[in-house]
Amino acid sequence: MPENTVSHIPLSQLVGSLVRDIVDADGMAAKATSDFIQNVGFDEKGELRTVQFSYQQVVPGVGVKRYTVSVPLLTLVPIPILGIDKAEISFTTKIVEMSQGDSQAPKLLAKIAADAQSNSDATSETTNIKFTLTMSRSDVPAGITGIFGLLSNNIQVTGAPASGQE
Amino acid sequence: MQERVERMVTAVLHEIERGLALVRVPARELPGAQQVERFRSSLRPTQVVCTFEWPIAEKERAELGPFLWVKMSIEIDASGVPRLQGVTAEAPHASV
Repeated sequence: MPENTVSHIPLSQLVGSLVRDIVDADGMAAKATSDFIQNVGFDEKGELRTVQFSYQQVVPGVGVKRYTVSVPLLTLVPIPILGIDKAEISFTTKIVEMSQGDSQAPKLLAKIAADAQSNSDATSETTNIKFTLTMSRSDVPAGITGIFGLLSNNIQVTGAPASGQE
Repeated sequence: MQERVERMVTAVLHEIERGLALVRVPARELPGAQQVERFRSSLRPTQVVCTFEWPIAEKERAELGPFLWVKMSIEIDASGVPRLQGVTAEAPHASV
């Protein structure tokens, strides 16, 4: 990360924005999967895209019989299920100011630094801090699992009028 | 010196907590929800390790060297609250 692109911001904003970016990237990856399914699996009218073909087969005692096969396109192509399973963010900040906030905990102003080693001008309150932040995928909360169950129960297959009979 | 290191460790811990709070969704914003905050994604921060050099005062440098290496290990629980697991300090250039 280039130095001085961010200067003198609260350390909390720096930490929060980096974590938020990873979470947003994960959301974008999920959206890409959703878009793929929508664009490849369904046409502009929301109809399932299918690959159709027909063939003839000799049936003993009947003769030649013609069959037509319709296969949903989504079952024939690999669906890119995208997502972040684990992320590790490493960055070094230079603490430029430690101030007493409204609460008891001091507040830190920081800027991105090259690395923790180049700290020759450090004082006790302007030191470089190297962060290594790990993010992992955790279990879906029980409440969300329950909601998924309810949604699954609502998947329905209903009859529709054949084309030309609407 | 110890008091100032502790002050820095406390400050870093609170800054991480404030930072993670920016990404959490307060459940109280949802009608009928309990006062519990959860991370807004199943992808969540689980661990932070912070290391920094702490300059040593002139009068102690002959014995301890120019700086201490301070390492903080922090676990982050499911609700996004950081818990300090341990702090270690090492004087890599100590004469004893």
